[in-house]
Amino acid sequence: MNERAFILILMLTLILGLGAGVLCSSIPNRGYLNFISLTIVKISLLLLLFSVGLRYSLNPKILMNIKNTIKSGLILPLFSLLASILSGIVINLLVGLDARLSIAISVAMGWYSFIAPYVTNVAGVVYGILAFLSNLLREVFTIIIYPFIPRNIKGNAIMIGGATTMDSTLPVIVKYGGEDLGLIAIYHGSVITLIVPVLVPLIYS
Amino acid sequence: MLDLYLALGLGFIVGYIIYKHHPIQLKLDAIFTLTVLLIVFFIGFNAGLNMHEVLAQGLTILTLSLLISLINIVFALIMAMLLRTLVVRKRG
Repeated sequence: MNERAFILILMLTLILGLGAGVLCSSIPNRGYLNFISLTIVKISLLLLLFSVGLRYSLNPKILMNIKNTIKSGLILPLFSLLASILSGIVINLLVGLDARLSIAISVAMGWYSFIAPYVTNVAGVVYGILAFLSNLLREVFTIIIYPFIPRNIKGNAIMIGGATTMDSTLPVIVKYGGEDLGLIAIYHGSVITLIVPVLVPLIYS
Repeated sequence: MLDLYLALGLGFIVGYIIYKHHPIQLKLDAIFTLTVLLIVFFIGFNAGLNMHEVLAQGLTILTLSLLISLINIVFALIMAMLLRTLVVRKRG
């Protein structure tokens, strides 16, 4: 599926959910609806993580690629992580958002389907929406900005895509950065995808 | 927190068992897409249920989201340039 079309479908799904929620908000004693929707979000998150684990072990090629690339490219995900932690601190200093929350949202590195339900469960729906939109926008901006990045830093600049470099932003990276960046982008995104679910609960729980 | 690690670990174990004993092709992309859409729909639904709360902070959420994503990208670009400089210096 075209990446732009999927982003559009995501936004439409969010609006559809919003509409359904508004319609149901007039129901008296809607506390149970809150509980049910949060439980579905939580279960879906567990299912998502389960399928991430499944995907890695069913496709040992990904892990082999990581193993082969790790010697030469370990530094890239490390710098991505450092950039996210620093930007989380700057967001905290600039707007006064809770430091742990802003670092957690930044460290998700574009993985909105993980961070949004996680933050919704831990900090409430307002922060959940914030986590969702800021990480979705990171993906959108990566797709828009990456083609215009100077050629000499295009390789390292795959960092801007964060966890999405292994799937949704990969076509843009390969198209505008060159095919040789494909493997590095998959490696970068795979490592980030493995790190994020471990790090985020340690930062904010 | 533990449940997240358990789900991830269980996925690894189940995937490994399937890979070793029944090497079959699973269409994981469809499950992935469906799960993501389900999550997004119910986050929207929950926000709709608490619309008064979201509306009260609607503009703040939008502005903050934009700011957070841009700061994240700017810092990633700064790190990319820093890494480039470090590599060039090391080679030079």
